[in-house]
Amino acid sequence: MNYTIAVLGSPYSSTAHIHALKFCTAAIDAGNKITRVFFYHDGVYVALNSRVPPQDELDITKAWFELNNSYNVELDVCIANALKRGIIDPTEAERYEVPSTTLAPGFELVGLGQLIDAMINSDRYVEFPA
Amino acid sequence: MKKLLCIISNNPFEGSKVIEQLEAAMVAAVFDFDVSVLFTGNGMNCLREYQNGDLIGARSPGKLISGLDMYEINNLFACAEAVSSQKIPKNVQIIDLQEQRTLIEAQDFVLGGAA
Repeated sequence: MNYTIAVLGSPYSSTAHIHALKFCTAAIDAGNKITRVFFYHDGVYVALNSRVPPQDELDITKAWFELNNSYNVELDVCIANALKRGIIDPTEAERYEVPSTTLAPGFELVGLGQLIDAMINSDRYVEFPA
Repeated sequence: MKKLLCIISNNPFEGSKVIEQLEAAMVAAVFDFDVSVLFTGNGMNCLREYQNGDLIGARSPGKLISGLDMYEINNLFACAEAVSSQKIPKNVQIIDLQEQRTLIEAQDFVLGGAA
């Protein structure tokens, strides 16, 4: 079965990311495919590359990156939600004349249409709210 | 045509959650989804008249809601259990919990949004 996942909760004030990561891992282990994980609302904060988590806590950004690296899962971040929360890639930094970029490796800024397109082409859409 | 229900349960000016949910609903409509919107809980406050986000430098969900018909989003519902004395816009149907269950079961996708 092919899943599209949406994560809406903030990485450190909700359990949305932990639950979504565990769901993705379990689904892949069971032979399913996760084509795309879409980060929306405060879920986009996970793509901020300037966060430094405490050593005794899970680095959620790194955990998503490893999922991307190991299983080729696309990590798509809503561009509108990201820009207003300070998450910016080189293209947008140039467009808005922002001096630095803050998008973590493995993540990509995309439009909402990518989420809808993924939903259309999946068997299941699973949402992890705040 | 795929059916999508957007459930709004947040207050209108609680961050930008409601605005972002409505934007997702509008994009889905552009992609030819048959979109419905259900207001429940604190989300009922999004239906109040005279919202003025300008006072706090925020966008008013009420303005987006009144423009949903431009995206052919005409199926607007409000939770009967959450209706108080407030005035509900005429284009919003009031439905009870059983009707909400039936509405949700009829969808292909449900966007619940953040709590």
